[in-house]
Amino acid sequence: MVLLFFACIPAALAQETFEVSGTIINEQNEPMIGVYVLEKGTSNGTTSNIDGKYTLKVSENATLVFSYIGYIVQERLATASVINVTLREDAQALDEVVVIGYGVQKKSDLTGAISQVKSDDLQNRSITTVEDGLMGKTAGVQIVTTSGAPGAQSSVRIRGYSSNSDSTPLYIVDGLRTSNIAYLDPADIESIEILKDAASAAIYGAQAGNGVILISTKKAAEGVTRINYDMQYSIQQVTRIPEVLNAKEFIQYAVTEGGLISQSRLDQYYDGTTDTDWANVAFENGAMQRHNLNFQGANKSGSIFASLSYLNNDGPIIGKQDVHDRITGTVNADYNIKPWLKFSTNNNFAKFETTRVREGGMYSMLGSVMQMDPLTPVIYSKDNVPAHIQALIDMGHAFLTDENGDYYSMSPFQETNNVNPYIMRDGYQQQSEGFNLRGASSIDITPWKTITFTSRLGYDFTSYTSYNLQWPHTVNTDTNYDYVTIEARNNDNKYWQWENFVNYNETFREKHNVSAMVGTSFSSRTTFGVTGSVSGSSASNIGISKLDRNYAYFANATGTATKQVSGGEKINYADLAYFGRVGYNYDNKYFIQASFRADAADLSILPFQKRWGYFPSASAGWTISRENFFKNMNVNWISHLKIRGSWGQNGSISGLGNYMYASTITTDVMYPFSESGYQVGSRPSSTGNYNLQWETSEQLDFGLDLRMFKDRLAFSVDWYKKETKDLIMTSVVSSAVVGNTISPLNAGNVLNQGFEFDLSWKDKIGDFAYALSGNFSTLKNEVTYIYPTLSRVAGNSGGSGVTCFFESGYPIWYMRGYEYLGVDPSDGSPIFNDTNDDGVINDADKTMLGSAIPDVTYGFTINLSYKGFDLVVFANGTYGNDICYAVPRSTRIQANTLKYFYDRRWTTPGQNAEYIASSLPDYANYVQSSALVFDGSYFKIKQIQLGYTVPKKLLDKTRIFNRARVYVSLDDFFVFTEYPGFDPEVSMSGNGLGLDYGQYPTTRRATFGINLSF
Amino acid sequence: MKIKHISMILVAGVLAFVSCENMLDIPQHSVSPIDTYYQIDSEAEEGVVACYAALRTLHTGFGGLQDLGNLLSDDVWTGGGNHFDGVYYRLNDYIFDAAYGSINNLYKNLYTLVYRSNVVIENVTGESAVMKRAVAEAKVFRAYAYFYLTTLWGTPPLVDHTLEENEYMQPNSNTADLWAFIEQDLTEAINSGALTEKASKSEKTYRVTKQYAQALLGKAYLFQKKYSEAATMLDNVIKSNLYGLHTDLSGIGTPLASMTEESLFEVNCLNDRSQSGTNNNFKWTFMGLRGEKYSYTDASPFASSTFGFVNPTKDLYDDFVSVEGVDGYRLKNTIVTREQMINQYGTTNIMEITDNEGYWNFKYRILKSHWAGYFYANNTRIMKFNEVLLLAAEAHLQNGNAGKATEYINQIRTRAKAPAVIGTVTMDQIKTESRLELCFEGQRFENLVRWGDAANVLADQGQRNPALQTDGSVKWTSYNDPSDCGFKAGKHELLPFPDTEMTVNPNMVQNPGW
Repeated sequence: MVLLFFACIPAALAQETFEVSGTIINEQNEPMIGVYVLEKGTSNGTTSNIDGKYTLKVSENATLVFSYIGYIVQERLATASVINVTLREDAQALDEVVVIGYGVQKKSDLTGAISQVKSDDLQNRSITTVEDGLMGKTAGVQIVTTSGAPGAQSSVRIRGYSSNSDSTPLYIVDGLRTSNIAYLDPADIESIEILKDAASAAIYGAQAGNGVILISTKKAAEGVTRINYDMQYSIQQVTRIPEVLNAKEFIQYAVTEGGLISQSRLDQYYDGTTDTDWANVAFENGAMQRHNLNFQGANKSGSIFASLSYLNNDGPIIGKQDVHDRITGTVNADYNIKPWLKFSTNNNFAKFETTRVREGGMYSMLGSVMQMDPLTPVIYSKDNVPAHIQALIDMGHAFLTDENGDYYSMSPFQETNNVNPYIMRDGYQQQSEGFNLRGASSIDITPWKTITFTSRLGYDFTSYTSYNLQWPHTVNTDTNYDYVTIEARNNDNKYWQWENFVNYNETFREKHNVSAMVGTSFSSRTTFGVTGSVSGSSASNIGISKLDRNYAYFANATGTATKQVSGGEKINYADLAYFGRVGYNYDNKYFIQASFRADAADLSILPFQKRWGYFPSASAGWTISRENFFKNMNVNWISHLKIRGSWGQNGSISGLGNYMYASTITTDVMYPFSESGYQVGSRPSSTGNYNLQWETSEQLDFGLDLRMFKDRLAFSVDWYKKETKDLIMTSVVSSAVVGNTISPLNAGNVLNQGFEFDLSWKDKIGDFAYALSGNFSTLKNEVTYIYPTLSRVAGNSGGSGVTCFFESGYPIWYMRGYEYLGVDPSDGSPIFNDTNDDGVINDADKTMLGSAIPDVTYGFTINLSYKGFDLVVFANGTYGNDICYAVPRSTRIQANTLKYFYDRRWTTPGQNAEYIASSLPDYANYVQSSALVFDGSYFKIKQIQLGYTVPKKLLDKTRIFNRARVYVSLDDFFVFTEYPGFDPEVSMSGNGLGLDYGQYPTTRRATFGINLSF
Repeated sequence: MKIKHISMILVAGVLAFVSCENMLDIPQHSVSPIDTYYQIDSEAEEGVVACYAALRTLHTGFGGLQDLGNLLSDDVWTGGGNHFDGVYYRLNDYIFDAAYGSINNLYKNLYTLVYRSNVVIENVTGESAVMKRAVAEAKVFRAYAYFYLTTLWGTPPLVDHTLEENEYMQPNSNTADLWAFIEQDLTEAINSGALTEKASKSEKTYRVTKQYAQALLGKAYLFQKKYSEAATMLDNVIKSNLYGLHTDLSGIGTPLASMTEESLFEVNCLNDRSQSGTNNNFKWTFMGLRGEKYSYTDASPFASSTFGFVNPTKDLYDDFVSVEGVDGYRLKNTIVTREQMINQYGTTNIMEITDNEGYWNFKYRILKSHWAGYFYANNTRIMKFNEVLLLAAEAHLQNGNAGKATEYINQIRTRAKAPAVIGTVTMDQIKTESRLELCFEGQRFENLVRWGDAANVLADQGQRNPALQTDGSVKWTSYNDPSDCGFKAGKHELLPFPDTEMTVNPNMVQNPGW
């Protein structure tokens, strides 16, 4: 605003002036807001208002230039005092500009597979992270959610799973390379570009093997000065609570039929009336509120965008034990200091605080909800403590109580591993806090029109602290903690990067378009962390001086407490790269592009000899619709048709680090050369592998883009084949002749291949506008090679059940166990497939039970608007993936079970039941069988939002608001799945892919929101 | 316009400047890299200490090198709680296969010793006395490892340096090359002048000595039937006059008589429970009497919670008797009979004991006085002077010098208080003498194979096994199908290469018959 003001002054004072005004409309006769009107050759300009009107004082004989992104620029002589203009869309480009690495490109010029997600797709959704915003919005991108807890992050998988290690893509936020985008508020995002094919990503070389996600935060649009305020309030609850047995059913199951709990024990401990619904005990309605306030202003010389966001997310677990609180701020600005010099800066700070409960694993609070029996009351009155608790209290064990001093219950029916959710909640306190300051500033120097030199400095400072407290408590008869354990951690991360690159773009003879880019990058990261812990050992040595939460800090550690400290060591990382790209197109018809990047890693990642990785790529495209023969074919309902292909190599370092290739000296042996005393010996810790190198992905992509019916229909399809080689394999068994433990080897290959389809349609019938868009992707994932001695690498097994494996010929981390054939009708015992027909069921019979990788993922969005009303419906789903209900354990037979199993159990001889008898015969094998593996396909309606925008006429009267919209929304509300557990969307990732081991489910949210513009 | 061109040049300079590759050279904390290690005396010494530790591993736990040699011989029955206690009966019965764990471990541990020796030989390049000694000792260790790899497996891969990743799948070597390599290593070590030598018979040394290297080289020659070279080399040891026979046999295999003048090389263990991993060797616990099968009085010298493996055969006992009679001094200090157990050593009751004919190992008895709850520090004897004399006698006899051979055998007979050989010694007498002197030391199997006697002597292994009854009688049981067990000529002369090895290394060819 201020900038604009000053910019106008010189022109206004200089010459004789007169006032020109008018209205700017588009081809649909709609007024256009924000069109920039400039007196040619000066910096005198203005923008159109919400009614498309503008007024500008210009000098005599001036020429007015009207410009707007995506529209053809018009120039008009200022010959009259009223000049009305109709701007036409630039058909040449739905020519949106797409951010590519170290540059931008017109969308129609792309030769690679780049998907774009725009702010519209993220706006007003009750999502808290950018990752969640990507789910279902574009083909080829999968989101893996391991927890729905407030503050938890999902991981993104682009075109499958490329590594046995981490497959997280590279994030570049406004040019800053980062591994974590939790600090971004989705409301601050302008666009997200996903570089899916290797040629597009190859410019990021060694780190692009898992794809690249380029995020641009918002900038003020030229000519716009505005204040926006968005508010959102959501009530949330667990989306699906699996039904477990009530008291009557549980007695029937565990006592009467199963004999898992004896009648006498029931008689002794059951009061006959208790029927606890533990889900009801554990969950309540949570609330989430978000506020985003931003200011933006821009003119020809510069722009500024500043925003402040606040998020408070109190999850559905009862009380304030699962809360995520985040404040983020963004300041983006740029200014044309000289016609040839531009300065830009993007800065973001974030502060977050998270409190969470334990999830996943044996002591998952969520697992407890499903396993605790309904016969046990929630609390025992302090005046009437049952014998089994009193006995433990008498032994000096600690029990947690509620505010009245009543004891949280402990089941007398289950021997181990049952945990009252309240004990889970109050026995542990897990808090973390962090602060980030990140950004990038750059100067662009344009000495000649065709050349731009950019020097960009990025920085990222992160501070993270955590405090975990385990308070004395008794979990069950064999697990008790009579003492305090405190663990606290502090970690600082400093990162900076400096990138310099030159872009060259020139057109010769109107048809030969040449572009080139060359640059360097250097980055450095330093981390420093200290972790400490204090722990007691018994009820008499609790570890701290006073059993009071106010004393639960290191300062109050007793002399006899166990104290540990680690870290305190500065760790450095650095990398260096050279890169370049050349492109040529003839008449926007034939496109070729090639890029190359050389990356060097520091010694902690790779040995000196293998430090450099070289990543080439090439791509080509052909816009058939621009050919004369095509134009002659009279198929003018096709407005754009293009085919393209690309090939490239990318690297990945996800499995590398910590000098894992190095052979170092270890002194773990000794020998006595006398009758007393020893001499220490030393030996190489491992063989060393100085040939260790980057994991390399090689990808081939073919695509077709089609737009029809005056661009109302847009369709694109891609086929890709991505082979990742040289995965880092550890624990390799070698020939004995090697004589030492083998260092990690490059010894695994993974293949991902699939099709991706995107289809959209938009049209307007009178006041009714509608848009439909959908995407659909297929994925085939297979491990094609691992080191011969490692025939099968075991991953996570959840508890003792179905285990994930990495094995050649199978999808990555597939589920393996016994194939469950059903129930023996005679006795209700399970029948497993004796795959080798040797008459015994043992390890050799285990086989593939499923894979968590979906064959198909899809999503679609419907946007409808009529006058002031708008409706968005967005849904997504997966097909062909499996999920394992990994909660039951063979050692926990007295645990509650799902109603799903109960209703389908075997009860009488001769019955053809789906699941085994209540006595849980052969249960140890059963929990390792496909009986617990389910089709994880789901369909989720993620958003139904109805909004109303207050008519302009009404707003104009207020003279304050430019725009006002209110909306209500149901988010993640409806789920369709056959999975009987909590949430088919949530399971373990990494080497436990698809195991649901008591993970925190996602929530559904009813949301109310307001969008205001001033 | 000028400014922007200047700035352009400036930034071009900057672009070129960002080639700070040395900033990537971030050293690892808290470690020493191998390529700069072993350059000073203390580090060179550390390297060779690791070889000694690897040698110890070869003899640690039941199923090590010597146990294997014992179980594969006609000197012992497997023993234990019953015939099928553990998997050791498979060796004694000759029904083991390429998956047999102890054989796999032994193979792996021998190559670990080769590797650690290679590390020293490759990295210790200095000329100091300590460094030269380290290299010389490492060569002896490497030769030691290859001696067993060659004699037990025939054609194992010859690994003479630490392997790079692309060399992990080594093919079989051939026996002649292996022997040449062993000879070369030992010759170089002996000629280096860097190996330790004792000053006198009474001096103790805990290191590899020049004389041990010579003895091992002599043994290697003898195994190749290079009798003349063997005789010369072994005579070097004898003539050094630094070693002799220990006259008192009463504690010969126990901690009471370790590091005597007879010892050329022992794996040293200290009676220090605080370093149990270094000093304890579980194999002794296996070889002691099976406690629950006996009732003792305080007069018993035996530790009572041991496991009862490796029981002497009557066949061995009878060989003793044939040489020195039932009351032989050496016999009494090697094998104890049922009568002696009851009358002499405070045993009041002996229950039924499988794999036992009424004879127990006295040479390696577990001394109650030194045994403390599964901790027992007793040195493993790698080479003793009596073996040197036996090897030398054989070499001389085969080389046509029967007189010298007889002289050496009679030195042993004298120490054993057994009748001297009358006239000149025969090969059969040397074989028997060797069996008696070296029994339970794991030598018998390899000797039988090299003499060509194995197929004959070991053919019936596993056919039937004894069980000592409470009344002292012996009951025989056949545990195996007769056609499946026993030594098979053309097969059992060599052990199988471990099956894991065959899986991970496609370049390996399995030994015949396996």
